[in-house]
Order: sequence, then C-alpha cells, then structure tokens
Amino acid sequence: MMKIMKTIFLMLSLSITNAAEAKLQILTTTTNLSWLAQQIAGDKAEVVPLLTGVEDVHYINAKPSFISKASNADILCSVGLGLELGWLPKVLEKSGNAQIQPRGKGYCVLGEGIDVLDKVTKKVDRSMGDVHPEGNPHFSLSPDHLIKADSNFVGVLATVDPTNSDYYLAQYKKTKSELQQLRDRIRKELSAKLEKGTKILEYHKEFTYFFHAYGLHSAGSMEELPGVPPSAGRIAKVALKAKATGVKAAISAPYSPQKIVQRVSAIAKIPSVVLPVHVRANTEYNSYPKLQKHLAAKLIKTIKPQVQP
Amino acid sequence: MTTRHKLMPMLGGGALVVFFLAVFFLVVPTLANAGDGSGLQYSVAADIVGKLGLKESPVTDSTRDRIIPREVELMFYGAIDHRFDGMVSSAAHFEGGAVFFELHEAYIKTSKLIPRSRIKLGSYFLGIGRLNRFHRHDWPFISAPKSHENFLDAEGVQDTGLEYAWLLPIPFYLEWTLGFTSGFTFGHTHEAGSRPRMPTHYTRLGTYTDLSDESGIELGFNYLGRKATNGERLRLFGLDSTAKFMSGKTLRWLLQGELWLRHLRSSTNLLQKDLGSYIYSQYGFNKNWFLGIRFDAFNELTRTSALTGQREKNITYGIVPTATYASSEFSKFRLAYNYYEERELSETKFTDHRIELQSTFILGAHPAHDF
Ligand SMILES: [Zn+2]
Repeated sequence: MMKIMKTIFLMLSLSITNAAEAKLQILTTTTNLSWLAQQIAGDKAEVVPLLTGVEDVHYINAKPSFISKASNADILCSVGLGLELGWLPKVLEKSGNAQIQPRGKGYCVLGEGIDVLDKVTKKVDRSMGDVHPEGNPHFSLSPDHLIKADSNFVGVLATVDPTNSDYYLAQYKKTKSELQQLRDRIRKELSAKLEKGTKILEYHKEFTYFFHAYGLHSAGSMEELPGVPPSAGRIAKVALKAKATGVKAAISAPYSPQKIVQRVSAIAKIPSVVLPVHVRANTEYNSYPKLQKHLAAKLIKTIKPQVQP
Repeated sequence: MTTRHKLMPMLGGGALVVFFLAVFFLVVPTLANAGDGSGLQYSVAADIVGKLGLKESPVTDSTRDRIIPREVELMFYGAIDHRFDGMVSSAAHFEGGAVFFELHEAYIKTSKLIPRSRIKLGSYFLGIGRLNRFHRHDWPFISAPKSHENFLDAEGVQDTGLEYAWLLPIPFYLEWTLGFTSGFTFGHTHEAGSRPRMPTHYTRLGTYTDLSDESGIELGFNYLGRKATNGERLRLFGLDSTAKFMSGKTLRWLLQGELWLRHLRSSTNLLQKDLGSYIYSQYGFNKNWFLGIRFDAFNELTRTSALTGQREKNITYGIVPTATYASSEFSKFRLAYNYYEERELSETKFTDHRIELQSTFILGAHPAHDF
C-alpha cells in the first residue's frame, strides 16, 4: 500500500513540475484547426488535434483518450456552430478541467462570429435530419473564414498566456498574410483553369466554403436531409437537375456513401471525385496550404477535360 | 431515497403514455416561459417492449405475452449555476400488471470544483460496470443479461449518495470512481428499506486505450459492498470491457462484456458464491442496421442438494441474437430471440424461448454520447 501511495505521490509531483516547465498545451478538435493553432502559438505551445483527419466530425464518440488529453489542456479549440455538439460537451465535462469548459479562459470556439453560410431561416426540427441550426459549420476550407476564426484564437491565447501576447499578435499577422497569399495563389490557379461560377454538386455541404472562397458555385447537396442517405427518388431528381443545369462534377468526402455518389454521377453523366476535408499527417495534404493545393488540383483534374474537349 | 407511488394500477399502458405526454406538454411550456435563458433542457425517452413466449415457461413474468411501455422517462437537465449542473428524471414503470411512478434520478454534479474530478450528489445509477452506467434505453440490446438481472437488477442499481471520480495525472486514461450510498435497499424494490449495518460502497477503476484511429477498448475493475440490517453481507467483484470499431459514421463492430462474482454471506455465516457473465458482439452493416448476439452464463458456485448436502453443478446460459434498426440516434427498433436453459447435474431443468420486440425513442434534447 505504501508503495502505491509513493508512486501516486511521485506521479503527482512529476505532473506538477512538468506543468510548470512545459509549453502551453493546446487541444483542437480537427486537424485544420490544429494547423492554424500551431502557426500562431509557434514554439510557445504544443498543439494536438483530437481527431486525425479521417473521421466524420459529425459522428464521433467521446473517447476516454480525448478526456485524458482534455484534462491536461490549457486551451481547447473547437469549430463550434453545433458541429461537435454530439460528443465534445461530454469530453469537456469528464475532463474535470474547469479552464476549458464553457466560460473558462481556455474555452475557445473558433466559429464564433464568422460569416456563416447556409443560414437556416426556417424553424428547425428533427424531421429535417441532422440540420446545422446555426448555419453551415464547415468553414475551415475557406482561408478568409479561417483568418476570422484566427482572431478568436489569438484572443483566447493572449488571455491564457498574456506574457507572450505580443509574440502571438505578430504570429497572427504573419499567418493572416500567409493565408491571404495562399488564397490569392489558389484563386489565380483555379480561375485560370475553371470558368467562374463553375457548378459543383456536393454529397454533404462540406466544400461550400471552399467554392465560396474561389468563385465556384455549390450546386447543393445530394443529401435531402443532412445525415440521412438520399432516397432513390432524390438521387434521380438531383442527378437530372445537375445534368440540366450544367453541373460539372460531383464531389464527396471519403466517408460519404460512394455508391450513391457513383449513381448520381452516372445518371448526370458528370465525373465524381473524393476529396479530403481535413489535413492529415503522412499524406500529401499534411498542412493546410497543401490541402488547399490538393483540393484545387484535384478539382481541375476532374473538371478540365470536359471544359476543353 | 426512491419515492414511489403506486399510480393508477389498473391503467393500461397506452393511458400511461398519454398521461406522461400530457404532463410533459403541460409542464414544458410553463418552464420554457419561466426558464428563459436558463439553458434547461428536457426530453422524454420511451421504451416500448413486447415479449412473446414460445413455450410454457416456469418463469413468472407479468410482462410476458403482451406489449407494454416498459418505461417512459422524463428528463430535465442543465446548468444550475456557473459551478453546478443538475439532472432530475422520473420514470413510469410497468411492473406486475401495475404502473409505478418513481423518481429515477435527482442529482447535482460538478466538474469545475476540483481539478481532474467529478462529484455527484443525490440519487443516481451507481457508476460501476458497463450497463449500470447507462440508461436502459441506451443499451445495445432489449433486456438485461441474466448476470446483470441477478446481481444488479433488471435495470440497474440506483441509490442516493455521493460519487467522486478522479482522473489520475498520468499520460493515459485512468479514472478512479468511489461512491457511498445509503444502502437502505439494494436493487429494484418498492420498499422503504431499513438502515444497513454498512452502507453501499463501491469503486471502479476504468482505463482505456485506442486500438487505431477509429477504434478503442475500455476496461473497468469494480467492487461493491454492503451489509444489510439482518447482517447479510454482499460483495460484488466485477470486470467490464467495451470495444468499439468505427468506420466513418458506422459503428462497425461493438464487443461488450461483463463478468461478476458475488459473495453473499448470510447472518448465519453461510457463504453463497455466484458467478455471472455475458458477452455481446454486434456488427454494423451501416448506420441503420445492426446484428448482434449475446451469450449469457450464470452459475451458482455453492449450490448444494437439500437432500444429500452434495454440491450440485449447475449453469444457466442464454443465447440472445438481436437485430437493431436505428432510424436515427433518436429512434431504434429491435427484435431479439431469447433462449435460456438451466442445467443441473448435466440435466436440463428448464428451457425458455421467447421473442422480444422493442421500440425506443427520444423526444427533445439528448445529452452528448459517452464512449
Ligand atoms: Zn455538416
């Protein structure tokens, strides 16, 4: 028994001394956010995403490993706009970490105050599927929206670690101009190869902000109700409409039901392509700029053969 | 303490649902008007179950061969203030041909007071094992496994007391739960109970590890003890484990099991030992369709013949295949076949075949999901 007590005491004291010397611990839900947080926090913080980039962020389990990570975090950043509502509150509560819970100084919701697309004007109820009542939360693929989200993050960072606030502000300015340059570069590339307003159909409205950022146009989603696979009737309707209105491609995230996407693409006679939504380690899109380039290149490769036959 | 009223004993199940919904819709608008900005959330969970015996059964079960609302639960929860959250739920149960209205849970909790800690005070389901930590309408199958029913009751052990959970400051998940509850009663009863010689005390050490990006396994070690008024001493030792393998939004494979050993020492110092377990394996075809099978086993280790005083080897086992259709996370339909057989000294004592049907649905808010 004494031995166990000693071990526990040792672990406790170790964790306390570690905390004193260690860098700021920042957790983010998605990998896109962790890229952003690392850019701004620089070498002052260790940034870890809870997710790896493959998951469907709508459907996550509050894994105890998340809880364990959250218990040590100084800041926890989420996308917000209801995206992580099904699991994150559980992680925050079970962490026993008051600082990262709502109204704690390390509680950080990046989507707060951004220009939300697809705002819901109707009264929402559950018969409408997993609709995002606060508007489309998938903003992180738009560099402009990310810059805005960035300013939310800097605010939280400076509150938690005021001694380094000048450094963070400088990093923010640097990141902002880098993101603007990236946006201009990608925009130039896309507008050179694709017509302005090129219509693209999405499975779920996860790429809408990307199109919005680059003068492309989302032709809507294949889903009729978010989170509910479309019926055969819906598939035919969407595909025929896509064909009639000159939609150029059907795109989907890796976890979307590919059979449905293939079916739409076959009826509409348009190419389809699977695109990543998040940065992922050990891939060619392991950073945000690379993800943007990857998306642009893939879109051009999918659509261009049709534009210039 | 559980407050129970035998309410409308002659009332049928349909009337019960109507009654509850009426209460709900009368109460909720008032709350919504009064509780502006309080963040109070509310929901109703209904659990409708039908049981059909395929053979004469020695099991007396008033819920057999009929379809009943096994439970209709009203839940209210939200932040009490900047430190505390609260939850109050009441449920109507259909039991023995009568409807019972009871206070299910009423507790105040916080995870903001002591770092890495959660504290809960009030009436709640004890934080031990796997099934006992979840509301029955959130279980992956319809009815409790034999071991759970015998050791922790058909629904679970609920009592009034204090529970403390602490996340150890180590780089992986290890949570230690410790609780004390009044112990006047144990398990589901409509009695007031009496002061125990030693209140119910329990502990769980839970750990977890990721197996891959989309899968993980949780393991829990449990102990519960209580000494009743008459001197009977109960000790439960348990192991619980849950593994989940996700694929996108689909729970591709769920593997869940519990193993419990019960020591019951009577006031005359006779020790009765029982061992029970179940294992449930469920495959998900997509986010709507699931097929699972559960194996139950229960063994009275100390059963002796009344005549000869000899040990009598025995086992009760069950096989329960279960199909689930989840229209969404708020509405599920299940169909299960239950086969139970009790064997004693290599002879079959009884068998029971029955079919069970279930519909559970949730109206209103639903708290975020646990692993
Ligand atoms: Zn979405």
